[in-house]
Amino acid sequence: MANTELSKTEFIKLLQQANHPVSNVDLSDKIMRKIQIIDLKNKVYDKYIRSSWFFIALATILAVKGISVLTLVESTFAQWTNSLIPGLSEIVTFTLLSALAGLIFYQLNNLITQRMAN
Amino acid sequence: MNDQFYIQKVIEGDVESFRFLIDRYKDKAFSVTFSIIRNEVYCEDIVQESFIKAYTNIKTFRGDASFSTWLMRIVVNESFKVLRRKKLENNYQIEATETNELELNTSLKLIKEEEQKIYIDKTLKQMPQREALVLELFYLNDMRLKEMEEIMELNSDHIKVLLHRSRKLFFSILKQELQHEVKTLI
Repeated sequence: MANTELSKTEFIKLLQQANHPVSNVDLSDKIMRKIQIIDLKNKVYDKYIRSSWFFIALATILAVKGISVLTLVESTFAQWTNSLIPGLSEIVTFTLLSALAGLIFYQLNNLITQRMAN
Repeated sequence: MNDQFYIQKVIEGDVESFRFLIDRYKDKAFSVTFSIIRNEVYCEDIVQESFIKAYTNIKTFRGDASFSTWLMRIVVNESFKVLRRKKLENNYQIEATETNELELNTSLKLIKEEEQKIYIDKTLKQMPQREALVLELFYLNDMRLKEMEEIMELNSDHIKVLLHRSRKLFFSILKQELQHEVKTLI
């Protein structure tokens, strides 16, 4: 039977005639820019967000713990502190809760700032 | 410098080293994507996405296959993902029939060069994507069956069958496209 097939080289030549667009010259730059953004986001995430979540979680636990402990020992604590200086228990409780709230707000602010920057 | 050198540098944190890998493989990635998608706008996005995926997963590259093969597998997967999402698949069935390739090639040569390009383009556009891809990998990228196995996740027997079918299909479609021309020229 007569061979009716083109040789591999001839077939390649035929296929090469098709339109073979090449990539844009800027493609490398575009990809590198995107990669740099991804890298920066990862670094920001590692530096701020991950640690912020850790602090927020820690602050929440402390707050919950703090409230329950305060409730339990409140009367004893209040009695003792008030016996030293009248009204001291309220001041100490207020200072502790303010510090805790301040820490939470500080970390939340960090989170929001980073989100806005992105 | 071989690919492994740059890969190691990227893993160690030198982001700029990845540029060498992009420059080395972007054209190959583009032509492989184009053989599947046949749309330059989508191709650029797919190539970008594939390189970004390769970068973010570079630590998982074990070096069992070459970087080129690993990257092309990502490119092919991304291309087919877009193909399905954008519903660009060629769903119509074309029957692959026995064609006298030599005769067809001779007829084709009688047409102006510019028109030849148009016919071949049209033919490739009509081919099912998987078939067009095997032609691109085997004939235009000169890939070995082993590499194609890894890229397409098929065994070599399946690829051989696919290659044979693709070639037959290419000439069947080309014959259809040239029908009017052939009638007048043969």
